[in-house]
Amino acid sequence: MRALELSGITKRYPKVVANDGISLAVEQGEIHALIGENGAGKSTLVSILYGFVQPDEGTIVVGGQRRDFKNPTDAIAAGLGMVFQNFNLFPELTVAENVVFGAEPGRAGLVDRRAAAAEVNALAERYGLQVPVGKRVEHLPVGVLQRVEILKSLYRDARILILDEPTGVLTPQESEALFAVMRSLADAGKSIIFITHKLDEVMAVADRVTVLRDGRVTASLVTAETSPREISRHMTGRDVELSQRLGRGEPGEPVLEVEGVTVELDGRTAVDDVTLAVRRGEIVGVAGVAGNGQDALAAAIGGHHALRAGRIRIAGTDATGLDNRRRRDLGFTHIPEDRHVAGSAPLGDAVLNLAVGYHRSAPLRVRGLLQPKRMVEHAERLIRRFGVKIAGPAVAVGTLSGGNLQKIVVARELGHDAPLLVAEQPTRGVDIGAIESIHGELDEYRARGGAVLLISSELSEVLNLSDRIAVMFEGRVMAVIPAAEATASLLGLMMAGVPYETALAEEAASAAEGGTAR
Amino acid sequence: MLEILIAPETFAALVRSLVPLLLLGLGGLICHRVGVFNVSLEGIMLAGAFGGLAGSVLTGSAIAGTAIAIVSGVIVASSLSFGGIVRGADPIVIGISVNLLVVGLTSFLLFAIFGVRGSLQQPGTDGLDAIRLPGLGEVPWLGSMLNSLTALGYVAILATVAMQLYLSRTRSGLRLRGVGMRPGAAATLGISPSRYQTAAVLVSGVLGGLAGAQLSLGNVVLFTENMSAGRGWIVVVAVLLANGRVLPLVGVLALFAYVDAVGIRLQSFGLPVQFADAAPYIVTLIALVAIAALRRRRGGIAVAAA
Amino acid sequence: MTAVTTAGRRRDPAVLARRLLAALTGTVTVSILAALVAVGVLLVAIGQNPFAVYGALVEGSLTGRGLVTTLQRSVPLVGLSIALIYSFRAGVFNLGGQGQFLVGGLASVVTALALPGTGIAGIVVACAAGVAAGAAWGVVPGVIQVTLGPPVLVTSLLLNYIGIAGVSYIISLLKPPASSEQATPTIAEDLKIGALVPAQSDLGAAMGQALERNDVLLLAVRGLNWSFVVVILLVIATILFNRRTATGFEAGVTGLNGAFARNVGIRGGRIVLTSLAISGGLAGLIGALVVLGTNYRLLDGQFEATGYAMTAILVVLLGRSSPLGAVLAGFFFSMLQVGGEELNRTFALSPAIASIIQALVIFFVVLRLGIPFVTQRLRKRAEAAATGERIEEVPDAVPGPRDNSTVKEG
Repeated sequence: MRALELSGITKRYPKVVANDGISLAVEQGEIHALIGENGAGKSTLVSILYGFVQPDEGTIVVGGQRRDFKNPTDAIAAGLGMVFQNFNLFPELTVAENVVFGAEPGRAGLVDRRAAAAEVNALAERYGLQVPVGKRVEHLPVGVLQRVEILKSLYRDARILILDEPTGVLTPQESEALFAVMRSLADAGKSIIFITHKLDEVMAVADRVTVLRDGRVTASLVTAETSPREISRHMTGRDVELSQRLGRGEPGEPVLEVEGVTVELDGRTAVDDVTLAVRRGEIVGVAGVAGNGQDALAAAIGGHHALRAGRIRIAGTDATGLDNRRRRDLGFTHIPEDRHVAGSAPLGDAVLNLAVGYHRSAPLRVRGLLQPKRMVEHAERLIRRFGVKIAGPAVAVGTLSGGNLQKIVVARELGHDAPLLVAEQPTRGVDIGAIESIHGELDEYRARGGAVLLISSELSEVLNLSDRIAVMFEGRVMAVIPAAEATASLLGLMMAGVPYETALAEEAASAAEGGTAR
Repeated sequence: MLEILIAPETFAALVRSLVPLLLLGLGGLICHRVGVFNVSLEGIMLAGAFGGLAGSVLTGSAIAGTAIAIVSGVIVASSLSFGGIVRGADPIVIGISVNLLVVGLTSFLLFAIFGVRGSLQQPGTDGLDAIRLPGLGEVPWLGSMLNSLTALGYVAILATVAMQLYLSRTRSGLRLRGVGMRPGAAATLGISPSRYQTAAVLVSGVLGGLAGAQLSLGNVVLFTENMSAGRGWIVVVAVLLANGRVLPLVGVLALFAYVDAVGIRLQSFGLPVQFADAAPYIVTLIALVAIAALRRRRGGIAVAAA
Repeated sequence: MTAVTTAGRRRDPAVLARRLLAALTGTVTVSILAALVAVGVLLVAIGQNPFAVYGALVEGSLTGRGLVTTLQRSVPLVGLSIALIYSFRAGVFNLGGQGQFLVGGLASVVTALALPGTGIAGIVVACAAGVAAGAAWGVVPGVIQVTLGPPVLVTSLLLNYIGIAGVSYIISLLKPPASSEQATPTIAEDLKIGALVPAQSDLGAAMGQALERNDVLLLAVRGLNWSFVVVILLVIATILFNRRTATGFEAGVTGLNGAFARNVGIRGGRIVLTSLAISGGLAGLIGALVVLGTNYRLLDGQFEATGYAMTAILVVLLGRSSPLGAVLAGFFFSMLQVGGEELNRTFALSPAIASIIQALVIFFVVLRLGIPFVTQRLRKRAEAAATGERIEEVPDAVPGPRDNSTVKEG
């Protein structure tokens, strides 16, 4: 039976057609993957499906009935449930309160907390989704949060579950567990729309796959009858995948030395006795599930957190007690995780955004005075060198697309030609062209002798660029291994807290079983 | 002189200055819980004070005056909710401009309607009298406090209890708290954040209007320009200090009211009037700094910059 | 892609014309008109003819003595706004201008009373005292925010009330026992800041002969004192500070995005303290100028009654933290104030009408009133003109629920 059918869904924004005549059919009990690059239109389609956004054209048919979703309530009523990428949970409420929120049991406007807990417990048991019903959600691990999100939909009798990039915050092993849950839900008759940009996940769990590119459906395939290569071609319109770029030549002397660094945040140990070094002409990748101390480590290197213990040396000088400004004087540069929040001033123009950091010395500052004309020239030079698409240096950078804004950030930081770069999620949420260009810049920087600490939750990025890879779990570095020895599954085991030796042994065992380790 | 600190008259004065603070504070608290930073409390109360007295003078009834005070408070609150919630304007800037607008409008209307400047006081205006309880009112120390309560005093007590129950027990209260924590998350479950936010701001208009009526019809029967005199800001601070919880809010406000009462009473012992004027603000500032210092020492999060 | 410099663009007459049109349909103009219409409705409601009222307002504030009064009022108002720009532009919500202004005035009057009459040097010393006191008072909320966290917004405002009470108390100590007024004694004659061209001076006498008695120029040079020049210099210095100094640049970046500033090596705490110290110091200076140039003593409640400090906040908001914007907005608001008082005399209207228009203008400005249709088309055309290229704009994230209530402390 057909659970959901979209036909001709079109949504236009002032500057772009986000969805262009998208049609899609999902059967009952089917896991249907929706795959595409960033900016292919997945997010818009999901927003339409869940009633946040109304399509300009096209129809939605759920269970044989035509529907118009004006808001999420309509979508929920029609039997759709949504599991968001970055969990939409209330931190200070309990698991039970989160699940029943908006459809609370009780009479006369009061909430019956006991009934809520009982109902959630029963539901959790039925689908094998164990959760601590009475606990506040704020400190629960991400795997549990995801189960809470799924329970929220099931509590509302969802027949069609939409999972938006659900594995982004999971280790490969946790992802496997999630896939098992998805399969058992499908067996129980639920339909699942699984949104992702990762090919291997599609192959692992989906029955069918619909590929989006530039707002259009480029293919609708049965997973068993296709190959990753074919899907990839439909996604990108070409055969190539991002190429691997490895360092050439021997790395030089250490530029960044982190020794036994421990950071405490809000009474919890965020970084736990971390030691690592990055040398000239080397990219060291830091792999790990988001929230395992990578951002705290980057902030500690940047001088934003006081250390509980340990030392940090930059370009041979002890930087432990120095603030961000002094560390930058030593040669530290930084691409922060969020380009809007910490990487740029979106309301400021490109001149301002590119001059920051250069404004204290010649040529931009001469005899104590800034030189406005040279600031403009400086911006134009960086814009040209890094191929930023922008109408002119006086344009506010907040109006740029994600990829171009990120290029502004990269241009500013790499333009210093400083010895050290800490790059956090340098390509998150940007289109494939920008990814390629940014990876190229990082590679060239390395070739010029730059030292890069690359922090990324995108495993493929770490594997493609790094010479050595450190894996972080709960604030600790599990191991630092040469790129040649690293495989996704080995890193995945360590990302889940399995010590290096054990992980290596497990890898060897599964290889011996004859299956190629995935 | 020290007996002033525990004299029944001091506590009667405490009650009189607490009632408007509490009504306004509950309004601020519900906004805080729904995630709206309400900087217009000052303007809401001032509008209520003007509306209350003007209404009573014009209609001859304090009850009608109180109703007009509510309407005035709600009008001011709805301009805040339109600007801040519908148009998404900066809540601080909108709040400040609304406050100044109310200062201007009340002086303008004072002159346009009554032809006076500065203050309005007409003999024989119907005010809200304190209610004398037959039995309990005779109890020595408690009695003097109870006997200073007007009808609005009892409204304030009921509203406090109701607010606590509403937030902790009701469906709507749970949803309102959820909107305050993560409006986006509430929206995904079909709860409209802007509806809850608008409702909370309007409730603060009702409560703030009542607070104003208590100022101009309860404690005294007169209106003076800018009569709210920064109380709205004290309430803003108190809500921050109490972090949006009802009982701590009552405690913080009671402390302010006590300092206020003691300061006023000490004037008859030669304390300069300026000290009494400044006392509540000094105490507020000290409390703000002290609590932030304590939280910092405990390693928790300090009252963050708004 | 050919490079387009900002300087080159400004000279292009077509661009200039487009900018002018954009300004005319922009938020500020539309907000002012909307405020005038709203108050017009209020005027009709109380039986007045709004056209007659506005006509009288303009006449009373822009002609003859009225114009000179407007200029006189603009001096402290623009001065205080310039002072506040230093904090607002750095993203510091300093609502403590009132206290800083007052404390500066008090410090200068106390210094002036203690000094033997020493002319210009004495004036400089008294002004310096005002600057020092204002800066010290102004920096307190900054220290509290930087070390402990409670926001300047709240603490600076609380300090106003404490400052008002404290100054009032000190005035009561300084008051001559015989006087019935709550005021300090008057300062010595040669510590008063003189008019630009005093009537008794040679030039003044010559001008008096050459010009008619009611000539605006004559009234202006006699009615304005040297504070006028000081404020003009302050405006110029502030423009240079913002555009040409590293600290000014860093303050601007911090105001646009504090987290970003911290990440690129700007010391946020230092910026907060510096901006508040400059703000407070300049507000204190204006306090000193008002005492030494206009009032010659400090009367209890006089500074608060002028409303300068609170109006200055609105001026900064209307002028978008730009010094020239503050000059225009400050003059406009002074004009409303002076015109409002004229209305009180001729139409028996409350002078509060001026503050209503002022607050409404800001209210509408924050609502981002504008003629969106026209501005949008203009922007599009400007973009197309500037590049031959299409700039791709893909919605970055799920355009889902907007977190539309913004400030939540915590």
